[in-house]
Amino acid sequence: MTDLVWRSIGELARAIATREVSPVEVTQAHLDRVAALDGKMRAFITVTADAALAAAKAAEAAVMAGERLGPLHGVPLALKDLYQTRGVRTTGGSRILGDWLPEEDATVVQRLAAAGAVSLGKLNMHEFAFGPEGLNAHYGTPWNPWDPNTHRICGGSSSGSGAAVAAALCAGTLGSDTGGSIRIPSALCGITGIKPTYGRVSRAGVLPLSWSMDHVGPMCRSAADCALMLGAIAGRDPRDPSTSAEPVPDWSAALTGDVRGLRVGVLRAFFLESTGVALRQAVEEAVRTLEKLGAVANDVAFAGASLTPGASFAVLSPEAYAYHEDWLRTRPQDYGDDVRERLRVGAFVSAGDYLKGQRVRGILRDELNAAFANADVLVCATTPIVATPVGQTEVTVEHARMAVRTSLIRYTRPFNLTGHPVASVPCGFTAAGLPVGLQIVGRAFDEATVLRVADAYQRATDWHKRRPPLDVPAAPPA
Amino acid sequence: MEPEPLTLDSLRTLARERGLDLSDAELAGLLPLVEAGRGMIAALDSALARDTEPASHFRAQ
Repeated sequence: MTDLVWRSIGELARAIATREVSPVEVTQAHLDRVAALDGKMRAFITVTADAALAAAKAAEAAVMAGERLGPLHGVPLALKDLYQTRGVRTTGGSRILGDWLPEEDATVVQRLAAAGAVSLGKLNMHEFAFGPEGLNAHYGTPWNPWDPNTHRICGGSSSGSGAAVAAALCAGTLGSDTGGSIRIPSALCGITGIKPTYGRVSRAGVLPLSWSMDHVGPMCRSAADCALMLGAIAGRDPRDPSTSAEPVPDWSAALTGDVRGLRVGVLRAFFLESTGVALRQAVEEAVRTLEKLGAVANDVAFAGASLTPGASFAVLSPEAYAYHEDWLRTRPQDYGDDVRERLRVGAFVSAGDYLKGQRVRGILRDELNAAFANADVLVCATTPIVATPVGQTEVTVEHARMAVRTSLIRYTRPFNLTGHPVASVPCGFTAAGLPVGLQIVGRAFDEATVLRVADAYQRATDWHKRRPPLDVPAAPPA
Repeated sequence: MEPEPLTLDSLRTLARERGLDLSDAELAGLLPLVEAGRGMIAALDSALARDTEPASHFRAQ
């Protein structure tokens, strides 16, 4: 059974379609693992075991009847708990929505179901997606699977998604990303995630943090699995006017393994500053690996990235405040302290300041688009630090003290402002065994090249295949 | 242009205008965060020309 939970989405879908394994067997194996590990992990807020088994039995019947199967048929996935699920509580990681039963599924939930996926339940997250550590005062903070002895953050806000995929509690998840919330937990949990281009995937039925910066995307154990999941959810949605009519390509077919002649722009200025030595070395080694595969690497600058903190604050804070304004007045005590305080800050951003942020966004987007004249993808670290212990608020990197929160979003947030697609893939481990992530940035709507590079890198390395020490008993205290 | 420094009293006034009735302790916690945010936003001025339009636009369809 252990083998089943570690299979990729692609392997599971093939094994189910060829009747090698039953969707019921696969779903039960994952539910058993959730039951065994999630008491400590806290990856799930709600496990829908009965519904999952019922869906798995229906999936099995469809296989036996020879019906046409979707690309995710019978594969057990899970959802960050900000995706509306009809009749299944959707908390947003909050007490405020602790009992909310939506009447409708989010568009992406409908699309995953149409592709045949089986949902195991709803995953833990930073309250209302407003925090890059992935903390949660209401449902417990998820435990990073890579350190069984110390409670470390998973990164956020999609912390339960990062933990669940890394620990093989599910084969893949949907995260969401407003400042790095797919990529940060992907990096800190040693998995692969992609924030697609803004407008590529519908946000309809997704609890918002910042309407103009929220992105929906998959978190899996490989780029190939991300390609499968992204293919199932992408495309124009009448329920979300920000979605694009851009055609959805076959991303799996784009995974040729060939990156010969591809131009890789390395973002070193800003994006490798304030980065731990082990992380810098891992990123540089990843660049050398891509060069060995035939890619051509050159330095590329993105000077406007230094404007990111101000522009992001100006846009995100008032958008988040606008959504929460009523609850902040009537139910302030029901928020966690950190989230309530940061949401309130948005009340003091003027309309002029908001537009200043939106004006700078255009400048950043144009500069990044220009950088792609000299590169097909850009690469840099996902985060300057690895997973810190829960409760630690500052880190020292290269003799400089930094807030953990600020540090985590430093390299991811620029691309939420510009809207470009970015994947994070594991590219190494520290001496303490904690994973390091590499960002691969593409042109707008060119997820195909991002995924092709990520997949080629994963064909040449095994970082993404490593398993956290979950099945090994924790060492006794010294 | 650097914004005028905020005080607890001026922040309290702004908060009340927005319907937020905050305690002194809450205001004291917010003040450095609001000040830091205003400073970051002020740093954007140097990048903007008068005719720089916002990145988001209403679409009729």
